[in-house]
Amino acid sequence: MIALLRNPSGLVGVLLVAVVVAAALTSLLWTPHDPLIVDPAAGWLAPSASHLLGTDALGRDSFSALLVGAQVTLGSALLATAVAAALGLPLAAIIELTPPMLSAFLQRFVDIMIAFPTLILAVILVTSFGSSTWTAAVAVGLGASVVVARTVAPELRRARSSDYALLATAAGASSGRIMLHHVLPNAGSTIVVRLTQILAGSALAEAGLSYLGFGTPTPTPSWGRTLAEMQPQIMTRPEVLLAPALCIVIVVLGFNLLGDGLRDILDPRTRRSTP
Amino acid sequence: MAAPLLCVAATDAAPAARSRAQRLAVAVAQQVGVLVASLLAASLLIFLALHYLPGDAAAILAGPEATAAQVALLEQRLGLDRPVAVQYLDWVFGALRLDLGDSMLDGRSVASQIGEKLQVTVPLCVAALLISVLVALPLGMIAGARHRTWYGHLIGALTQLGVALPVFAVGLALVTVVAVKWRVLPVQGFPPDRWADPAGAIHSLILPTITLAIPLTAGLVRFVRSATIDIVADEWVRTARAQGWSIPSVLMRQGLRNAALPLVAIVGLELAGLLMGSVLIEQVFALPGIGQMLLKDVGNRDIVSVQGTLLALTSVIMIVTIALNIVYTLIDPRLRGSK
Repeated sequence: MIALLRNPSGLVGVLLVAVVVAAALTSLLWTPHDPLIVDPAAGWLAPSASHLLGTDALGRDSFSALLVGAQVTLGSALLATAVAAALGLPLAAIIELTPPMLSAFLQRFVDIMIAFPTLILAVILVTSFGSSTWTAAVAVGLGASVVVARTVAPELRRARSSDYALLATAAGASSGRIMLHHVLPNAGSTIVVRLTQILAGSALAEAGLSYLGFGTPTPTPSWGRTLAEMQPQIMTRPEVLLAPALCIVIVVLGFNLLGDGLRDILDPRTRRSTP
Repeated sequence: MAAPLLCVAATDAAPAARSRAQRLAVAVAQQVGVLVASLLAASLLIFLALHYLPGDAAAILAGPEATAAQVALLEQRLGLDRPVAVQYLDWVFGALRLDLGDSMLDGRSVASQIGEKLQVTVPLCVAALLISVLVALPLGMIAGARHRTWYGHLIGALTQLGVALPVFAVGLALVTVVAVKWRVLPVQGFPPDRWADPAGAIHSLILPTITLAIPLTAGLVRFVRSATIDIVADEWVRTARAQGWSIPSVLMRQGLRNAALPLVAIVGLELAGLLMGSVLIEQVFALPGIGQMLLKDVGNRDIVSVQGTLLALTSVIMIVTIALNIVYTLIDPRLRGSK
């Protein structure tokens, strides 16, 4: 942890993610106003002490909406990453454990599924089940699971061909046991780094899907949909678009930098090459 | 005079050449097989998922006041009363003849509508991809070869930002500054008669293309940069430098060739992201492309149209991916020699 804070990318990443987590936690307990209360008389108020970032067309407090939006973003990013890990890691292990013929087929399958756009998955799921934060997150997670499988599988192969794995085989351990007890822990750092990057990608994807109307439905505040709702104002008051856009940048940049920092301190190869 | 950088054993004996051709043929055949299998799987997934929608398509289309008899009549007209397998086969064989059925709303041919919309989406994606490759190759190499200098760090930091920026936010920002404040380019939209007015069409595509190119470029620069850092640390570069080559000339002569292989792969990986990006950008700039069509049809629950569009998009992406994989196989030096 201290090593992470000493790494410049890691430090900025931790700070940015901490801001978003703090916003989400705060909004669970308290927001300056109820972000759902509509008051047409108070539409488009300028920022003031009471409304830090002003209000939207319906008089809802923008700052409160952004705080609650942090919950949606973090929640859906975590769910998407959990789905990606739950499917992608076993898939990577299966690719490594199965006989060459099947493994080659699975690899080709993963290659082609990477090309299958998350957007199309999301459209299918949303058309079938209706749009919700969770539907979008599951679609994003499904799309990311093949990326996890693709990038983790070579790492598992490297760990499996190591001396300690050979030793465990000599000691009579089954290949499943070796995978669980020896290979996975040793590939752990790569997996952690990859999942942090997936968190960033999921947050970005959720914002994009919500912007298109395939994600979080109204009235739950979501940064992507807030942007979409504000878009008609671009000619008259473009400044209202700034805050939700910045929030998305902060969370994505935060997770990306956190991932870079983790990679720097966990990966022995880059540790050697950085001074 | 500097010595040749690489000594390629160019002893392509006849039997070895034949076996290489055979190996390539097998590899290509494998790829095509995977393509056919995945297209079938994708078409099944799309068809079944949309077929078992909650909410009967015919009932929705007929409206809330329709009688059961009217709904049944509509079902019959749309062919929804036939067995699922028949409907699927009919749809797939139609798709092979580029016939994706007619829109449930206005009865227009889905395939011809897709063709119209692609006139906007394809130029957008191709231009953005070309620009990003042309910008990212030199920029990434500079950032990688000089990654300890201030501009090396600056490029590295900028790409971090570029990857994190949501394309729709970038698009909105560009619209605000360039179109609303400076009034240089059109804010939104596309000429109604499309490419009949080439200047107008290009004008309306400038901002969207730049927007789409930004995250693509940032991603590619990151990739080229780290590849260059690895290459510069390689032994053959050290050898070349000892022979008096400068790093830029080594990179120009050998680095490009070494980077081409992973670049083909990475462009393939970007394809899915490119589609998502272009759909978002069409929404920002109100461009009448394939993304706008998809959003509209999902909103109207025009199942025939959504199915057709999804199948067309998936097919294009998968075919391009496989084509790239085949190119990858052809230029992969590991498949070139006699071994």
